[in-house]
Amino acid sequence: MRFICLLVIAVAYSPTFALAQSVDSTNTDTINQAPARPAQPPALLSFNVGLSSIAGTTSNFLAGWESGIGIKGGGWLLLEPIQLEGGLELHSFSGRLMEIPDFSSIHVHVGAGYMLRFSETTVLHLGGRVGNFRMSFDEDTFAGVRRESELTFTPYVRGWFAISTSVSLHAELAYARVLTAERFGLGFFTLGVSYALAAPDWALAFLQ
Amino acid sequence: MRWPLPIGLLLFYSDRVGFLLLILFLLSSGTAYAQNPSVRSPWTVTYSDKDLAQAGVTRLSDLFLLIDNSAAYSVDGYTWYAALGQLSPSSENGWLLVIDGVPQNFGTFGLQNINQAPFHITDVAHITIIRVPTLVQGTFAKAGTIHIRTKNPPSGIAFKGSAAAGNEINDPGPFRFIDSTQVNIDRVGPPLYTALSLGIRKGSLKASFASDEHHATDIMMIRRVQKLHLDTRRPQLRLRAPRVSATFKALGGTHRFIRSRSRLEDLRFFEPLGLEIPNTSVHDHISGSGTIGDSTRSFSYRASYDRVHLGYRLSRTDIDFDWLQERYALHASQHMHWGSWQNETGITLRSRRSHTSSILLYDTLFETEGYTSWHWHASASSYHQIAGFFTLTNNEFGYKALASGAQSLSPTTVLHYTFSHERTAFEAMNSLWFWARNGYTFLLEQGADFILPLRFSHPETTTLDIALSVRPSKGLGFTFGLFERRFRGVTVPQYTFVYNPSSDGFTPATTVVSGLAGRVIGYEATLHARPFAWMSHRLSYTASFPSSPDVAFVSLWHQHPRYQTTLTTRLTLPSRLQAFVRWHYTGSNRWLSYQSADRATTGRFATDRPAYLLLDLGLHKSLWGPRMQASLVLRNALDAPYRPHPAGAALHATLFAQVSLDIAAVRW
Repeated sequence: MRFICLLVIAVAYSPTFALAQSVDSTNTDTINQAPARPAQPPALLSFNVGLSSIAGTTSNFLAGWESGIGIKGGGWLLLEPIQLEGGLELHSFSGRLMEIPDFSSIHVHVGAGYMLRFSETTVLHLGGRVGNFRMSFDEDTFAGVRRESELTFTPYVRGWFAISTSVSLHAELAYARVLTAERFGLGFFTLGVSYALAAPDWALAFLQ
Repeated sequence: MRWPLPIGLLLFYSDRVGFLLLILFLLSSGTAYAQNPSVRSPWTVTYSDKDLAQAGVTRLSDLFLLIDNSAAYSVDGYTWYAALGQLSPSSENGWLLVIDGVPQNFGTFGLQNINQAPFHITDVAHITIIRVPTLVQGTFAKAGTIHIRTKNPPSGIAFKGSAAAGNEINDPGPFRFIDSTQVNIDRVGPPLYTALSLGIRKGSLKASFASDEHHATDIMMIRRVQKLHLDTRRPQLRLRAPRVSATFKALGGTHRFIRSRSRLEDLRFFEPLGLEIPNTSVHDHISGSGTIGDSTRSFSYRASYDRVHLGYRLSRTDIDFDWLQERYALHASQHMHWGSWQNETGITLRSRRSHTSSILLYDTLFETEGYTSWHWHASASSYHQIAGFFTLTNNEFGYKALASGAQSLSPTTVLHYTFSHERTAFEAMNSLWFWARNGYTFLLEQGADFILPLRFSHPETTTLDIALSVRPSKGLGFTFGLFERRFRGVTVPQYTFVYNPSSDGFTPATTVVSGLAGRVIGYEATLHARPFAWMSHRLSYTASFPSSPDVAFVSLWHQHPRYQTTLTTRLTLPSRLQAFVRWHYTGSNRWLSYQSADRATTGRFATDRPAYLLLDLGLHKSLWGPRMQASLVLRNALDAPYRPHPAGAALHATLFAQVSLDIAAVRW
C-alpha cells in the first residue's frame, strides 16, 4: 500500500500532470492561434463479463485455501485516455484443512486507469482499483462467524481487443492486496467479453 | 529550547526525507495569482462547505485534523478532546461551540463531544474556527471557538440526504480461524443524514435527522468493553439526532427558532473509574434568537434552554451517572455603528440547575455577565478592539478583558495581536469535582479513590498572541506568531492508573490539585503558496513549551505533543474533481499517569507516545450539476499505528466514502 500511495503522490505532484494542465488554459492570444486540438474519441460505456481464476496468492493464504474459477462483471466508462470503472467479482475458496471453513467472496471495487492505444483495435489499460473484499464463511463449521470484509487495493493491466464496433475481448492481470491484519494478496487472471455503446448524454452530464 | 522540527524529522524519518524535500522544493516553485494583504486574523480560519468536502471531513470531529495547534486525541476514535491554541491546561474541550449563532454545550463535567451535534457535516454552510480568546455572540470564548452555520434552505421544497462509511484495515479476515486472538475492527459509521426543507421569501422551515454509529472494538478496548457490553452485536456507540429549525424575517432582522435532540448511546472512558462506562447522553435544546434594526443600530436577543441528561445504558452493570442538568440562558445586546466605530453592549443571564438523587448542598449555579466592546476600524487594513466583562456567579465576582487588532505596517505586512485576561469563579467551570464537593455521590458509590482539595482556587488566565503576516508577492503568504499563556489557580485531577487484570482496565487513584500555576510559550509559522492556478500548498508548524514550579502542571502539558506540523496540498482537476494530500506530523507526548500500568503490562499502556507521521489522501467530485457530491478519503494512508492515548484505540488506515444529495423538488 505504501508503494501505491507514493505513486499517487508522485503523480499528484508531477509538474507534467497532463490532466491538470487543461485547467490552466488561459491563453487568449489571438495573433498566434493555438493549434486545433485533435478530435476526441467518443465517450463509450462498456459492460463486461468474464471468467476469473486465481493466478497466484501469497503463501500465507495458499496454506489455508484454494480456489477455482470465479465470475467478474462490471462497467467501464471510456473517456479516452482516461477510463473509469466499477465492478464486482465472485469467487469461492475451499479450506484445505477440516478446521478451516470454506468461504465465498464478493469483491466490489471502483477504479480508474489510463488507456494506451496501439491501434484501432488494440488498447492497453493500466490502472488501479480500491474495493471491499467481503467474505462469507461456512456457518456450519464455525457457528456465529458469518462475515468479514476488508479494504483492497488492486493494480491491474488489461489488454482490450475489439472484434467489432461494439464487441471486444479482454484479458486482465490484477493483484489485489487485501489489507487484513495479516496481509495477503490474490492474483487474478480474467478473460472476458464486453459490449460498448456510446455513452448516453445523461451519463456524461451526470459525471460532468 | 529544543532544535526545531526539521532536524528531528530528518533523523527520525530518514526514509521519507526525499519526499519532504520534494514537497519543500515544490513550495518554492514560484507564484501566480494576486491575493491582497488581509487584515483577517491569522488565528481565524473559515471553511466553506466545499472546503470541508474537499478536505475529506466526514464527521465534525474531523475538523480537529484541519486545525493547527489543536493537540487533539481520542480514546475510542469517536469522542475527541482538543485544546485549541493551547488555551486550556487540559484537553477538556473548553472551547466554545456556537451553532447558528447560539452557544451550545453537549458536554457534561467539562467534556464535550462535537460529534453529538444534531446535524451532519454535509449540512454545514461554513465553520469558523478561532484559536485565540474572543468575543462571540456576547460570550467570552476563553479557549477558542468553533462557530458552525448550517445551510439555509433554498427557495421551494428541497430534500437533502447524505451517507458515509469507513472501512478500517487490519481486520483478521479469514485468518481469525487460524489465530482466534485477532480482533475484528471493520467499519466506521455509517453517519447518515436526511433533511426536508421549505423555503419561502420571508423565511424557511427545515426538519432533519442525523444518525451515526461507531464500533468500539479496538484490541486496546475490547476486553474492557466486552465485560460491560450486553448486546450480542459488537459494542457500538450510536447517535440519533432529530432537529427542526425555522427562520423568518421581520422588524428589519432575521429570527430563528431551533428545536433539537441528540441521543448518544456511549461508552465513555471515564478516567476517575479507569474504564469505559456505558451511558446514554441526551441533549435537548430549544432556542430562539434574532436581530432587530439596521446597519447603524440593532438589537440582538437570544433565549435558550438546554437539558443534558447523563443516564443509564443497558449493560452488564448497573452503573448510572444519574445526572441531569437544565441550562437556561437569556441574552440581549445592542450594536451601534457610526463612522469607523462600533460598539456592542450586552448582558447575559445563565442558570444551571442540577438534578440527581444525591443531595446537593445547592443545585443551581446562577451567573450574570455584562460586557461592552469597542471596535475601531482605523483603515481598510487596520482595526482595534477592546472589550470588558464582569461576571457574578453565585455571589462570586469575576472579570474578563480582551484587546485585539491588526495594524498594517506596509502594503504587504500586517501585525496582529490578541491579549486577554480572565478571572472567574471556580463554580463557572461546572466541573465534576465541584459537584463532587457539592454532594454528588456517584464517585463514592462506585468506590472511586479520590481526594479533593480543601478549597478550589479561582482560575485566572492571561494570554498573549502576536503574529506578523507578510504577503511578499502574488500567491505567497507567510505568517509567524508567538504566543504565551499564563495560568493561575488551575484545578486539575492527578491520576495514577494501576492496571486491573480482572477488568483489563485500571484502578485509578485521583488527587485533585488546585491552585496550580504555570506558563506555556510557543511559536507558530504558516506558509501559503499557490504556484499554479490548480495547486495550492499550506505548511504550518507549531511548537509549545510549558514551564511551571508545579510538577502536576508540567506533567499535564506533557500530554500535548510539543511539535506539530502539517502540509496540505490541494489540487483542482478538470471536470470538478478536487484532490488533496495532507501530511501531518505530531510530536511525541507523555502520559505520566499511566506509568504504573506501563510497568505492570511491560509496555502495553506505554507512557511515552511516539511521534507520528500521518498521510491523508482524498478525492472529491461534484456530480449531476450541483446536486451530488462524492468523496473518497484514505486517512492514515501509511498505516502508522497512530495511538495518541496510552489506553486508546489505534487509528489505522481507513477508507471513507461519502455521498451527499441536494435536490430541489419544487422551486418558486
